[in-house]
Amino acid sequence: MNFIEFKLTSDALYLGERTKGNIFKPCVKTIPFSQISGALNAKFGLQNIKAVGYLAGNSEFNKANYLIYSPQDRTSGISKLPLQVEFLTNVLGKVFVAENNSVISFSDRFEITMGGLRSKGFGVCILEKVQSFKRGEITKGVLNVRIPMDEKETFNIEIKKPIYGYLFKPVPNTFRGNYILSIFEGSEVVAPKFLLRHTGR
Amino acid sequence: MNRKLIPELHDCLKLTTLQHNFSDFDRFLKYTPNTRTWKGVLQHHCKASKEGEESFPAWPTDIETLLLHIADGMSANFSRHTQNYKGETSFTLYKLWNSDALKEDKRLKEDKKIIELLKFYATDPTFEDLIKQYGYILKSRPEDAHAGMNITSLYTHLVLTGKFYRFFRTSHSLKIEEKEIIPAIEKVSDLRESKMRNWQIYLARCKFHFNQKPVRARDMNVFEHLGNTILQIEREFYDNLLFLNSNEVLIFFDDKSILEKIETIAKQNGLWLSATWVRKPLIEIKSSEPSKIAGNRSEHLYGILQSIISPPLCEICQMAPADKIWPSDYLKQFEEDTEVIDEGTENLCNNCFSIRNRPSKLKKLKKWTEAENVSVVWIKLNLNYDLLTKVLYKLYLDYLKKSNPKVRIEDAEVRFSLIYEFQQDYNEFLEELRNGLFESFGHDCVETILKDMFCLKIEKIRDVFKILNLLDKKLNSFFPEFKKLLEGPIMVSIACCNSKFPFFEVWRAIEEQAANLQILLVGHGRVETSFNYLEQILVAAKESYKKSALYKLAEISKLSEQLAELKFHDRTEKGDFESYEALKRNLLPLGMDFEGILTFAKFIGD
Repeated sequence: MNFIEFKLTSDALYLGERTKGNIFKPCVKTIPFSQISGALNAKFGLQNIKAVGYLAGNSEFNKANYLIYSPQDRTSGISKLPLQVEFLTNVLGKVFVAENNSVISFSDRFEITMGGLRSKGFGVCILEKVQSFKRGEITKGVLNVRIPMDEKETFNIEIKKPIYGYLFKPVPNTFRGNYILSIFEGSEVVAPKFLLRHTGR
Repeated sequence: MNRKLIPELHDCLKLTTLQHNFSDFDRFLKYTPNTRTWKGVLQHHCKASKEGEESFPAWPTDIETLLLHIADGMSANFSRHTQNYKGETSFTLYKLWNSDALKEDKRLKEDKKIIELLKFYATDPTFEDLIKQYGYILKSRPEDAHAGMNITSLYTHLVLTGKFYRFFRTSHSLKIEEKEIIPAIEKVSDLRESKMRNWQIYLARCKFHFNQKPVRARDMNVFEHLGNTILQIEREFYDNLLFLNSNEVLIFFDDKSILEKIETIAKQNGLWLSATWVRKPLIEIKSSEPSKIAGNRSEHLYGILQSIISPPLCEICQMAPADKIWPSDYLKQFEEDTEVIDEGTENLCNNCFSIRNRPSKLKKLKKWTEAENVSVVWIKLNLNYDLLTKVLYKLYLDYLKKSNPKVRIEDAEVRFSLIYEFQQDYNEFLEELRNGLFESFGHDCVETILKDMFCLKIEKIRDVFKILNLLDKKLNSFFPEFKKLLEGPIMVSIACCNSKFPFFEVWRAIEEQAANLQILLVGHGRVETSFNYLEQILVAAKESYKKSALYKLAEISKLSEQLAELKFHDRTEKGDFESYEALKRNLLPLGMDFEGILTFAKFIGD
């Protein structure tokens, strides 16, 4: 299996955690399979793009910031409680797309929108192609991405000690979806190196 | 002889200056107690353990004394090595993490005192009686006084001997028959060797985790579940436990079903566990870390997880279908509890609903979260077991090198007795820290969540330095050697935020902690450092800085941290620059980056 690596940049990104603390809405600190695959499929009108990603770069990048806003009820026009939303600025990430016939024709630089608060200008991401590469060395390590269990073969992942969670998977051509058992970052796996955490520390 | 043999009392003569092997005991013969425990005192050895030492006058003659002999060997085996180091024997315990803690040899020297001890033994006392009467000797006298081996106390050795003895006595798989015991010293020694090679035990390290992301005070009940899990394991398997922390245990057992029982206890409390275990003959279980023993297995044990869940998913744990709605389902049961009526609707699974269903025992925390503008500090201590074994190994190796520069690295292996010895000081450290918090902030302002986790109501964020001061004092009195390290096994997170701030965000920061000391001003930055620099940080906090300069820096950073950094280095505004220079002078040598300095400035500028 071949993969294409993209550099992802965004001025402001809000990938909301499902957990909400009263009026506080936290932000995911990774790029889950569901988010990036969904955004790419939506961009190209496809259903077969499979991608994963993670945030990268030093402390200059991916800084947490907070926005307070008050969503308005569309019918009554009344603002409810103000919400505090955590979002990331100066976002830098890496995205790996499993290569197939549809993906091969991607241009080297394109734009996608991902995450929430798009009406407030969030979520515009630039993807720049870095390289196309073969899967590479398979090694034991700690997973750096979130992948549904039923996609682990696509990415050549053998699970050793899983950290489980659930990712949302839309049902095609509907507005519905289900939560799929997935393995999360921190799982011990045997997998291609690019999916693993660097063991610098 | 009517009472049973108390294994913890077997090393009677080590409480005195007499030889352990009875070679100078003759003048006390007439005071010899007539109890089964005394039989254990006499018969718990066979051949001398070291060359040139005189053998004991008696050896095991029945199952009780043979098992005591093996248990004694097992617990000694974890702290005593076969190498003979040259150097003076020391009858004072040397704590690797606190080398100056004990200086006095407290053993009984006078005949009168020794006779008193023998008379005490004649009353057939319990271990608790012995601790009450002679605990001061047990905790200061090393189990082995030979050079380089005085690192664990007699107390630790006795506790572990008791655990192993009762484990052997009650084991269904480790069998021994009376007829196997042939009353000849060589035969007994061979029998012990054979059992050590043939009896297999499991050694497992289990760490407990929860999936919940606590939001409300009631959700903090998840920590009660964690505490209950540990408590239940301690109650059911006390004799099998070698190490126990607020979320982790090290345990030995002879039957895999024990691990399954632990898994069941965890799951009943809504937790999952990561377990590393190994099964080996007794003689091969030497390391205190199962993952370092060849043939170990490691797994994450979750409850049943569905492969697909139709919405809604539980909003707290996100691991199960949400079958309940908060607060409406709760109000169906407790109509009178009007407090929750106005709370937002949340979809919860049965487990998370049952956690939130129960009123929180953390009454103070509940009050603080309901009030407006209350600042709290979350304190969480964490003991990193992997780092603990590494650090103890390094300290032990350094200690052995003092008496033998040619020491082999395998001689410094960290055995269970050393871990157990450490655990006692660590527990005492936590207890004293808690008492210190009560003293400094008052009982009304301190909520104890776990024995290593607290929430404090504070008046101003600068109070964080009171906590750091207390921490520094306690580290000095318990673990001064750890303060010399850049990376030690004790991790402390101190997070300051508004009482209404969702706890799961604080918890996420605690779980991601990388440095030994993390001081968070939630949403505004963090200081990451080591205990090595704690004193300098406290000194830096005492220096006077121009308040307006710190205020400006904090305010500018709200708009842009980069702009604040420019201001920090700007020499044109001389009044402010002096304060910034002082911060640089005090904090840059500690390796602090601008984010750390800025956070520090926000703390002191409060």
